[in-house]
Amino acid sequence: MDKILEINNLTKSYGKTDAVRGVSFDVPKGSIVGLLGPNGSGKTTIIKTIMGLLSDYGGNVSIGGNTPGPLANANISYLPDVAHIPTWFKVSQAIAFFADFYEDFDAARAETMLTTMKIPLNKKIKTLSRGMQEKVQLSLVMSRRASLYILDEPIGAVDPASREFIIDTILKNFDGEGAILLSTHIIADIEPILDVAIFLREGEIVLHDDVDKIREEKGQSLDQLFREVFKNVV
Amino acid sequence: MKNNFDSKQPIYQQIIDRILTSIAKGDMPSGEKVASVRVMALYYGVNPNTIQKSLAKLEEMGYLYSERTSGRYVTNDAAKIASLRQSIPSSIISEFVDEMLDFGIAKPEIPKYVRDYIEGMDN
Repeated sequence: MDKILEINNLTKSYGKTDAVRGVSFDVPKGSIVGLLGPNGSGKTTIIKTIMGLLSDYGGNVSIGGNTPGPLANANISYLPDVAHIPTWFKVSQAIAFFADFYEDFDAARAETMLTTMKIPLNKKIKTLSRGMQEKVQLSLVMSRRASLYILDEPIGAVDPASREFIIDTILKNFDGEGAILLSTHIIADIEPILDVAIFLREGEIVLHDDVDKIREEKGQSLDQLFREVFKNVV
Repeated sequence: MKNNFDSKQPIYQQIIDRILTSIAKGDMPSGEKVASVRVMALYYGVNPNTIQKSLAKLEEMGYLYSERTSGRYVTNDAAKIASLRQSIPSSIISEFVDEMLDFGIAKPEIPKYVRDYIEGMDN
């Protein structure tokens, strides 16, 4: 399988603290890979490195042959772990903004998606509930036709009912041509959509395998295994 | 969640079981076109690759077949569906009996529990 993303022996420290210590993994085309670990395990640091937001790291990161930076980012649709769209924008302005900014953005698709979720396009983002704001952001990110989608904690703040909606949105827009790397510490809801799980602890990979294989070999769900592995951490 | 999957088995295996049950019950009649991978992924709330894997296995097992361009269909082999129909009750019973034994109920006592329950249902 083609590799959309390859990471080899990535290390990153902040001062004396080693945030990521020798992490290697691939994201093959057509796959959904979960970067799973408690807060502070290095998930966001890895993602920021891929996005070219952190320099001064060790090891190799290749996104379709490019190193992190503007060239690579053109093919990555990124949902950061914090709000990334100016909240004084109306939803319709945010759509126009994305359309201006990204060549691969499908404005009609975003509009349809948001209308189906009953999100008013003429309202300012800051007047929407937090859950709705997350839906707006995810819809915009998933409306690009990128080769790699990186979703940092996509279900972090939403209630369980909205989680299902978000998972639906991810699945509806995932066409098998690209790949998704998503990070979360809420495993149960995400588990059915993952191909591969990577467990991170204190900047190191402690488990990296096919989700089906984990279930077959360990006889437990990813969520159960996660709780076991991180019993003393979370 | 729309679907509660058993935690111990791989999800693709559980989807195979559900589809086999639908075929045996006639909810998916023989010769009928199977929904697309995308539609099924949304229906079950799982990764499309998982559905792909389940459908490929079902095809290998001969319960589905592919037409080159138009998609997948349920087998027209009536004998195959009939024997599937027969195998499902015994697999339900085997699961039930295992659980009863695990709970500490001796083999000879199990039929009594079943009889009592069925009699109770009519009241």
